[in-house]
Amino acid sequence: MHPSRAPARRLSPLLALAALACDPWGRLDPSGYTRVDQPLWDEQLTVVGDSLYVPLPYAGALLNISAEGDVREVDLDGARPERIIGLPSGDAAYVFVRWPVCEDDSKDIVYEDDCPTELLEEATEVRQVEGPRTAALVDIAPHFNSISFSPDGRNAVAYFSGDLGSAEIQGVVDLTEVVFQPLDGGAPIAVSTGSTPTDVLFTTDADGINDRAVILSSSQVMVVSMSTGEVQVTYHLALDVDSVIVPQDAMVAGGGRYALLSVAGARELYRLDLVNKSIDIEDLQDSPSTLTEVRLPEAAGGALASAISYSNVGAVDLLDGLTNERLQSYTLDHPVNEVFQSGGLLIAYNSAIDAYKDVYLIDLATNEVDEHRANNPLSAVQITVDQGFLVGLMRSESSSTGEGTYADRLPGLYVLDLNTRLEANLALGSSPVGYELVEREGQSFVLLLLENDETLYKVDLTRPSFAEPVELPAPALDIAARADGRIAISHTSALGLISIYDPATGDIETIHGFANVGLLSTPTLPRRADD
Amino acid sequence: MNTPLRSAPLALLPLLTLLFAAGPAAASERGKFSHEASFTMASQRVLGEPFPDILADDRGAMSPMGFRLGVGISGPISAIGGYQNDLQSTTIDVPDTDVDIVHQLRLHQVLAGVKVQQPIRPWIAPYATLQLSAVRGVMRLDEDLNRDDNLNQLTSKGNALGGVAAIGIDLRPLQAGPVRLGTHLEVGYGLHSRLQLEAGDEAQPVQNAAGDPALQGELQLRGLAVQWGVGLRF
Repeated sequence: MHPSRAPARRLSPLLALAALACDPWGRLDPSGYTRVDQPLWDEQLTVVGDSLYVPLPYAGALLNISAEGDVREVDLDGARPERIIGLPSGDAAYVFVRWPVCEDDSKDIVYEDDCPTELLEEATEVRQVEGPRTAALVDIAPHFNSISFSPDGRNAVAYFSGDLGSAEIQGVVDLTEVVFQPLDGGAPIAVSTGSTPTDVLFTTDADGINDRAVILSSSQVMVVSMSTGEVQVTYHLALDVDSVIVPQDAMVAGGGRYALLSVAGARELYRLDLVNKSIDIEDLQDSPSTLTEVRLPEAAGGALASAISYSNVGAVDLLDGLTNERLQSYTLDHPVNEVFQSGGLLIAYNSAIDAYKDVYLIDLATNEVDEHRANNPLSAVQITVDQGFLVGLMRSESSSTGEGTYADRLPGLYVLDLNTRLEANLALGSSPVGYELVEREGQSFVLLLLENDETLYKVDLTRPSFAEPVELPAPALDIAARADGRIAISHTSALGLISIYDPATGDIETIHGFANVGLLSTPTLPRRADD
Repeated sequence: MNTPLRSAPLALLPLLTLLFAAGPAAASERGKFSHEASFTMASQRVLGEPFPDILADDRGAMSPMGFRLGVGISGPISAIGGYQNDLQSTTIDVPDTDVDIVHQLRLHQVLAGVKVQQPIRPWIAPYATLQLSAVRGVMRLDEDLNRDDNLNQLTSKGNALGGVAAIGIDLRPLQAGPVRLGTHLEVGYGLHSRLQLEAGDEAQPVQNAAGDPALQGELQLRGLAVQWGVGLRF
């Protein structure tokens, strides 16, 4: 061996080690493991008009996906989104936000962890956002966990409905207060009801404007003018203040003259005369399960009526909207708990009890009852826009025995042609994620998603046994229709994956990877105590 | 927090002062073994507390490895330069989903500067360095390593510029002909601009509230910088 080469040879392993260490191109398996405490995005779709709002829980941000597919972070001034509620206009949403506040304004306190626990508080507010920007701060206290909108779209009604979840009350709060927030930006009107509200109904004046709110609460119903906040009348449902009567269901009847309400477990129907300010109590044949306002077809007089179904009796009663007289009583084989009107038909079925699989079509003109039976119990029944088809999901029956056992164990899709009365029971390979009804060129389709299935099934309702598969990039988790008719589908994905399906063209646009925003950031305290 | 680490350079100062004070006695050693080729391991503090949870690393520092080359220019002065890279690779368990994310953050760092050394004996040489630094960060995210066609294979990239100043000791205990085996340890301070990671073309572009591209995150290499190396001096 040449003496001068000996050191280099001895050092060659070292040089090889150095070269290996520098390897910048190698792909190493993950060496570490960590768990984030919150998902990177929320797969439950929030559609407002043509756009989507997607919360990013880990980053504490909110994204807006426009109709054109542009993704923008919503300006929440550093706050975290908690709840999003779309406004009826479809161009804005209320966003309930929360952010940490450190009472110590020291410049050394940059992150939430820097702030002593005893000085750390949370602040909340409600923002009205339009697309990616905040249009206004809304004067609704964040503890109002129920918000509804008057059907005319002029007012939001906010109240606390009993369960605050993980949130906390701050300061002195009247939990019985109801706030009417004009959506045109006017000043809110607050009314203290004295009892925790359970529901709010609206009456309509001659101009079609919702002028009064009927506030239901324990043992009490209050009628309030939404323009002035004046309490017009308060009905006490119990003579003894120690008696508690909790309304179960309610409706406005007789064109806004009456409010009907049922009470859980009771056979009485309370009829509140909103003009004469009186209460009539009528005994029914059983405890009501639903109250529904019905417009009779012209052939039957065209008047308003009230449909009542019962928890334990197979019947639907039709009462005159003004006089409350019984117009008709329809006898059914089984009790129903879902009743709604579609054109001249009253559709009734039971979504709560597996043994009851019937769907009833009650013709309001001829009073004929047409009974159909689905293979499995029904839920989520809808009618197509042209009122030509009834579609519902069928639940699987794990304990079923006897004939048709295999089919009973499978979830399914039920389709009933309301013109020909032909029906189809389609078995599904896995539980349905959801479905949307679409119409194109006079034809009706069901767009159906199944769990763990990378396919969107397009079911032609005129030929329901034929399902056209549309390939998706990943299994779906949620489906929602946008105002422009396109269908948004969220998928199983940690980093964000949403498909936008256009039923008119069959095109699918994919939006993905948006949930990595802020992945490597540690948010600083967004606002200081004196902000 | 981390006071012992931050005060380490100060603790070394008296020792280095003594060593440099012994310089005239070792004047004959100047210029010898001023060329070097070393394998290096380093630690560079990342500014920001808490360190991003996603990196699953509570050291609060990146730990690049690489090499350093040096060429003697004149007397005690040599030009040095090197390349280091660090890879942090983590599986991230995301709640409410069956999908795990594989996350990789790689930093490439190129350094170039000068080194002034003051040999005391042939086998020991205190020195000081000042280097400019360019850093490129590449963050990769993948939802499914088993599929090459999944949509969420994302890359974010960003650059930062800065510098590192350090003092250290070079030990060269073994000599074989014109070559000595040496090891060095230096401690200093690194300062860089913010390394802002922007999404590549694979992901849907996201704009922040101001209309700018939304960041996947940012780091700043700033604070205590330590480097150890072993290699040849000639």
